[in-house]
Amino acid sequence: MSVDGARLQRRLEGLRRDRSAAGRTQRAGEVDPEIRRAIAAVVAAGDAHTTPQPVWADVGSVDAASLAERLAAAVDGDAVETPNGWYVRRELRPVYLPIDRERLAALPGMPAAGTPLLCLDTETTGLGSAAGTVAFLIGIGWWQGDRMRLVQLLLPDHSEERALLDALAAETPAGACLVTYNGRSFDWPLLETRFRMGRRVPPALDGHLDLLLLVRRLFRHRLPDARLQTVERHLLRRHRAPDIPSWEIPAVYHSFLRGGAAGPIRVVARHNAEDVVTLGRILAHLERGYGEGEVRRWAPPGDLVRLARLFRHDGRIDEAVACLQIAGVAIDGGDPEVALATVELARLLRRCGRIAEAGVAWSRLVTAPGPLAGLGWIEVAKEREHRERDLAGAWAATDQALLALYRGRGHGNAMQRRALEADLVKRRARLARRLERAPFPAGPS
Amino acid sequence: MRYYEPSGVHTVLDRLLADPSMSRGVSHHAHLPSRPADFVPMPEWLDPGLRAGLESRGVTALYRHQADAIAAVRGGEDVVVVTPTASGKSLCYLVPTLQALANDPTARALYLFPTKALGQDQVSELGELSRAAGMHINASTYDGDTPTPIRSAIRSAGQVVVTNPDMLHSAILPHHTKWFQLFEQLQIIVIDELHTYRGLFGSHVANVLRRLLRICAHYGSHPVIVCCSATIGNPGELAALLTGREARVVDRNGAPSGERHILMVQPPLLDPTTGARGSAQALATRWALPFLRAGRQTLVFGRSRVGVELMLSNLREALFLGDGPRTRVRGYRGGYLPTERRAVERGLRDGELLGVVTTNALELGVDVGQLDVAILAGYPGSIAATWQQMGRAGRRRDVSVAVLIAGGGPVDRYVVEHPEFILDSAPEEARLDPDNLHVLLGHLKAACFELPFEPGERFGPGAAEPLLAFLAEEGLVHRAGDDRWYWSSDNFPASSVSLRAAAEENVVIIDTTPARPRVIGEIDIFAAQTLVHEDAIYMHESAQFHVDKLDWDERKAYVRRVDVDHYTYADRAVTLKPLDTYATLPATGGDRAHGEVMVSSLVSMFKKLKFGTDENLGWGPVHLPELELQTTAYWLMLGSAAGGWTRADLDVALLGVGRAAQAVAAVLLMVDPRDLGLVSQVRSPHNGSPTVYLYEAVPGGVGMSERLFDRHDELVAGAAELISGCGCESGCPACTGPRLEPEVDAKALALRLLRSLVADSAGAAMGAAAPAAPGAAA
Repeated sequence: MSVDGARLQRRLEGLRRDRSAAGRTQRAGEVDPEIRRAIAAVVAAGDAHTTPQPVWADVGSVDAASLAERLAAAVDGDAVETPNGWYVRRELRPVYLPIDRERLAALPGMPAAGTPLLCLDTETTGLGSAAGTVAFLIGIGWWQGDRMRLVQLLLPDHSEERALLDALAAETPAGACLVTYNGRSFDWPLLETRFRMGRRVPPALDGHLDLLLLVRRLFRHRLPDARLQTVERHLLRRHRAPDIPSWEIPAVYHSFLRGGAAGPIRVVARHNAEDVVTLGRILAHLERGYGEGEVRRWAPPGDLVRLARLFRHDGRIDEAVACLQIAGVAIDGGDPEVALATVELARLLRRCGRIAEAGVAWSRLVTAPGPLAGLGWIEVAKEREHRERDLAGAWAATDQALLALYRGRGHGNAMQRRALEADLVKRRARLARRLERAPFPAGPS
Repeated sequence: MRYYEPSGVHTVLDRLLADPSMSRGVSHHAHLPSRPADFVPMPEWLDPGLRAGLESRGVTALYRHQADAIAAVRGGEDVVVVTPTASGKSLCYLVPTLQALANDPTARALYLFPTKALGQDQVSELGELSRAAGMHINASTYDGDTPTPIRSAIRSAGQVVVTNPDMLHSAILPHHTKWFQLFEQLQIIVIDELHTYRGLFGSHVANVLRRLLRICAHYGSHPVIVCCSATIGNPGELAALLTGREARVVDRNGAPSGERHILMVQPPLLDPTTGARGSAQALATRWALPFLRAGRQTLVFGRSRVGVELMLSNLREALFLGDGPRTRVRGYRGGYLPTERRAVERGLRDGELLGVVTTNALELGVDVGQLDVAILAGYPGSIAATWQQMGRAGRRRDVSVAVLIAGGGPVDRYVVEHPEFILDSAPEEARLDPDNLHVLLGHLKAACFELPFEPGERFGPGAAEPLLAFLAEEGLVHRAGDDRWYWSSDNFPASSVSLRAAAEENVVIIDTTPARPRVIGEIDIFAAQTLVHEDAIYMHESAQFHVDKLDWDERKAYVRRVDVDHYTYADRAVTLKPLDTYATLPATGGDRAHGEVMVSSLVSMFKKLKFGTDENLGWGPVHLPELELQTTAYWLMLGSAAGGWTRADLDVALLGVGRAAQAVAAVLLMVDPRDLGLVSQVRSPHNGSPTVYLYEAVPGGVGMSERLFDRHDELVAGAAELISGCGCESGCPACTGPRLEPEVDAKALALRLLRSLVADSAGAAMGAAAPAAPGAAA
């Protein structure tokens, strides 16, 4: 059953015929004409001097040195030769981006002030971290004083990956904490895979701060989605120049490998540099807006509710309480997030035994608009019934609670509301029985 | 004459044989006496803890085949163990695995089972044995159902990883860097149910194993491969084809077996002119009922899903009428949901269920324990499958009975009339073609994705470079400056290759009878065209459903419970177009050829048939798109043999010869007759001559057509022998196929044509009263 050469060639010929018969004239790896136009537009906008080149030229193995030279020329970097092959190193102008590390470290889940931070973002030949996906551009950024230094490492060809990974290992400071966006599930596993492919061990890290997870927890409630560019626009209020969509990036690199223009990679490099700087800017935003009690007064209450949860998760109850107290100040302003903050504050205080303070928070809550006031009235009713022995007052509070829930119908979780209503009806019936049995109108003693 | 009191298998069998209406059809009754065990003492070198563990579980000595296999693995040899069902095959790999782990806890083992359920059985068995041996083994199944948080723990710490080829293909190999601990320390690979890796599926699995071994080599490990197989004719060859390495065949079965009776039953010939015979399904129900009434656990195997449902409803009805254990009889087949199937397996194991009517879905090593009686309604299509199904009945100590009832086809008739074919002859050989170009290319992509190809590296049959160059033209791989080939596309190639072609796209069946519609099953698209087209009556657990709507694009069929007196049968029209001829040679009376063809099948109408009488109640149209299959075929073009024929006669003769040749081909190649399709053209639009095509039913083929091309003479002689040896008058379903026009003597026409096709030497033997068995020529 061995495949003899002649027959194999004949059958491959048949497959080629099928391919052209099926009208699939476009080759799988070829850049879609539409993408090509999009890239051309971006290139034209940013670099007027780039001469248009055919994106596709024919397959042929080209030596790594010349690929490295072309790549270096396109991105304005240096082709570096090492015993393990070629890579391209490009250092960008440092960005002024001061960060108070002490204040940053005060936030939950942040690395200690002394740990070096390494912001990292990769551009890859595909999605996922399976063995066939390669990082062809690794952008890293770290702080030198108030400035962020930016370096990009580029892969001239698959064969040169060892050199690229050597360079990354060399640039990674010992005991650094990695800062990424979705790097826990994508960039870092991918790089680990790349090191393992060469049967090497990836550089040791001291922690990995994935800002995607943090952004989701803190800001997702007021962002349309959690993509990095959305964060940039809505949180950092920065607008990017025309940029290449990420799904087009693999095709740009494949086209270059097959002899196409290196120019479009410049666009990818710019995209990558922006992403790395954005990581730093998110850290700066966190430190300046949330790093200590005083600045938090200006933060949206919803953010503080979520920040408090992070503190509580870390067991830092006092800080959680402080966050919620700040967030809950403007209770009657109509912001449901403020009311939510007050609910969380009251619950947290009750859980750690600060009953009196919790009571104050609950009674503040009854002035909140919307269904959350119902929660406040329920707690007030409990307080009056069990602690103050004020059955009539408790009865009145249950009425207020039912009214608040009724007004809030259509909002929030209907099942939860119905459960609360059912509880309230029972409570009311019980109170009615107790009031009947009471020898004289019960009131505060 | 009904007996409800529990009685022994022997009693029931004797009673049945004493009944002339039953015993008349028995064409052969084989009695296999019980066989004692062949024990070998435990080897000296076995880890003492492991030995103690085995002893505590009642294993104080090893069966002959277990000892042979364990010794060979210790010597670093690949082995393939070939013994019947329930002979203790799993110890052949469990003991070496535990021994390796006792020597070195960092060692790893990888077990492959064709299905998830089989893997889970083994994990529990391994767990019990290792606990008895005082070892703490981390053994886990890694399949689609494994929860994500557990996956990373299995990757880094699983000492024995149990999975299936599909998972290996799509989840483990492409992510091999996350499994580096496994691949660096891999010492044993177990491939159980080896015989299931045949045909297209086998061809895929062979390539997955090529990729696996390539990755092991990358990580520097050299695992031993232990294969286990049901009885097949070419275990060594199959293992070598699948793994690409030579394996020692271990086949000295040392396990004991109880007394067994094997009966071959021929349904009575009702009408010699039409060749009409009693139905195998009706006869199977009659054989099954007395055993069920006597409380004996009985499996009934049907050949088709519809057949299973019909038998199930007949059995239940018969038991219902006589107040028998109706609810303890269930159906089991592909298309039932996994939970339903697990419940049936459990019910059989703990004796809760008495009878199960099933398709070959239960023939695999799903653990249902050993039962009393197996009844096969129709020859399952291969000797190995026959033994697998019959082997489901066979207690270690008690008597068991297996009944094979011939169906309507020529192969069935042949098998039952020649019991030595099942009882004595070597079982068939499993065929696969790992170098099927479609399959090979798919896996080459995946392999290149996993690791770059070195210059001059081989993959499978030869150098990978011409194929890689082809992929480079497609823009999928890239040759870098170091002359290695790298994957260079954002595609994930493993996701575009499905190991089981049929599993790729299934039609989901949704019951809209209840207020909240529910999914009752799913079937592959080929079966869907004939079973759940609009207005079909679909049978599930012997309930009838009317198909209201088949949403072909969404792959959904909406059905509703009905109670009607008929069922539906849809026929497929097949057309064939040759694409490329690999070879042509002259043959007696014409030319033979093999090559690549395109087969299109279209279901355009269905018939309504009345239950019981099969009376035609009407028909309806089916509007479904044509399905295409690119595959390989063998064909015979008539030259001089076609001289002097009228077109009408030649049409009948060609079809008759084709049908007989199809049956003989299945026997010659020892494959399921359904794996070969037949198309006859009285004037082929492609070569102008009368042509008979036999095509392979899997995309790309697995090499059967080339073998038919080589064995053309035997094929023609066998067809002539089959037709002339048939007892019918002028053609019947058991030789020239179902008769379309009763006044035409298809038998005489087919024989006349065959006389001009048979090679001279063989022609002299034609017409002999007791011709040589076509199987014996193999």
